[in-house]
Amino acid sequence: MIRAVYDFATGPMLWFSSAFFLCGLAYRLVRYRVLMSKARQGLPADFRPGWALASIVHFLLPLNRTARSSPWSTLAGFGLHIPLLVVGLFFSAHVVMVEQRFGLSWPTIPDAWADGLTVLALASLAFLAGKRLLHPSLKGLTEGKDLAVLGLVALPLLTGFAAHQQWGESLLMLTLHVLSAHAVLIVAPFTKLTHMALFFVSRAATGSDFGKREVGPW
Amino acid sequence: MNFDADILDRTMKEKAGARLEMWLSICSRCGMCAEGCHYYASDPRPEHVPSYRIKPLLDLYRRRGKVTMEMLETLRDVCYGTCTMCQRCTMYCPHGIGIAALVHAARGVAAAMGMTPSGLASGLQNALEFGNNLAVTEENFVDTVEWQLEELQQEMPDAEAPMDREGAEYLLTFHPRDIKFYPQNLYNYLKLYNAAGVDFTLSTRAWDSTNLGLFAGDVPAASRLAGNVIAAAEALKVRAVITAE
Amino acid sequence: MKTKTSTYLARFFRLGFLALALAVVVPTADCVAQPVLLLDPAFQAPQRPGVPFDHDRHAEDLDCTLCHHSYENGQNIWEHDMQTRCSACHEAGDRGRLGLRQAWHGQCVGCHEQSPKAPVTCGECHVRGQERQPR
Repeated sequence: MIRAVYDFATGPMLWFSSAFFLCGLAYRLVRYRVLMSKARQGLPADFRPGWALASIVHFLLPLNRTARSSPWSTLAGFGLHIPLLVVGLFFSAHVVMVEQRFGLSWPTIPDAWADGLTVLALASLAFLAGKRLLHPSLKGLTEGKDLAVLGLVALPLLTGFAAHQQWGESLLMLTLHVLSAHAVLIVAPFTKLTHMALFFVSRAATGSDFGKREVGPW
Repeated sequence: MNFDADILDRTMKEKAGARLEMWLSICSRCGMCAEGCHYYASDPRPEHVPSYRIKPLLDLYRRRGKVTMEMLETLRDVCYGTCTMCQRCTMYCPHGIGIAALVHAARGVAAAMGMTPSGLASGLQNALEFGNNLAVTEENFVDTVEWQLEELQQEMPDAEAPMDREGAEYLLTFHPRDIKFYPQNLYNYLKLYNAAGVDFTLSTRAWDSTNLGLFAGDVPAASRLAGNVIAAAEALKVRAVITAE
Repeated sequence: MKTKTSTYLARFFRLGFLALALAVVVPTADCVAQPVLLLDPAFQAPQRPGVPFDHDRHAEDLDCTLCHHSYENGQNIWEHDMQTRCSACHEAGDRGRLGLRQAWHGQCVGCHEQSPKAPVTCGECHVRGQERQPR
């Protein structure tokens, strides 16, 4: 029975979730572009690509004021995002999955690194959740859905880690892992997880805007 | 007290541009903007976290149509009472969200609903009518300048304060306060520029460097006020405008 | 007539033979009657434990040449007693379709995905806690 769910989750549902996710993000990007063009009609073009790019680089790396004024949050931020990318793309099981499906392959990281990075990501999520609940500046800001999103992102990490450690029944744990990853993909376009794509847009816009005054927003 | 739902609807549609929509949706309420806000630094309350200020606006958008007067009043109190739109928060936001711009948009909504705070509203009215936010007449302005110039010439005989001189390099503009209440500041400006040998002129037409339309979030008014100064500068063919602030 | 001693002797010899047979199980994975541990020594730093494999069960229903192969000029010329080491043709460092990892996986995954009861996930085959030595 679980096998049937697993087959579905790694079969048709994979296509559906990925397509939904990509279309959702693409929609947001295209919509931004369209709205922006409408507003810009008749006005001179004043986008500064150099400043936009500089702004993106300064915030993809901790080379900015925020890293200095909020060092722990910055650490947690990188501690979450870097493992997500590295484990997501270079963990052996993920690459083997693609190998078996499509015959494509690329280098992988040792499994021990994946374990360490996943633990780091979970610790970062725990820190962020803790900050949400305890830090005074977030008292008026935190909404239920903020904690829910943190939990949602934690699920694939937890279940993936458990599956790798072979806690519980392997097929069940892996099925939960795949389903929770699908949940993230499907929910993402409706939440602040759209920052995966819009971060770059926002940084480019702000970078260019501040660049008009020949100063950077960092 | 009722409000015109049509005007609200139209204003909100107008404001709902590309950036506003994007920023409202990617604010993750991380709170790191608080580190950059001077309001928060002097009084660390949850209401002084920049991200908090955009909540009323976000609420307004989410509840399209189902808006209460109370919500609008909250919007007004938050966007006028807890922010100076200095944009420091944007420098600290990891996404670079223009929180000040969102506050400005919120002010625009309040302004369109006739809910600009009274002090600001009357100043803006003055600016639109008299060309400056303290309702100083052209006559009074010219008189004040002449008076301070006379005082200055006792100390600097060659000092001048040319009015509407075409082709000067700089157009000087002032804060109306420095004309109406603190003319000694005007004295000091004239002394400074004369001593520096700067080629400047004043304008009887547009000498107010402040823009209460900008502060009020009233974009058409802001454009008009800025346009006044630009028109005067272009008419006088100056190279640059010097503002008081 | 069989005496008790001779029965025990016979049993002892049978067991002895089996032990010997098991001792040569890994790495050649020859045709044997017991579950074997598949762990190719050509992999320098295996990230996963070896895979317990019930050869007997598979050999019952399937044609040998479905898995056992030795290709020459596009033909599979494998015969029953041929000693074939996978790593003889499939390189451990090769991540491509014919590399060692994909070759090993390719032996099982295709059919297992079709069969609802067969193991398909990493952990169902590469079971932790298995000794990395033959039993």
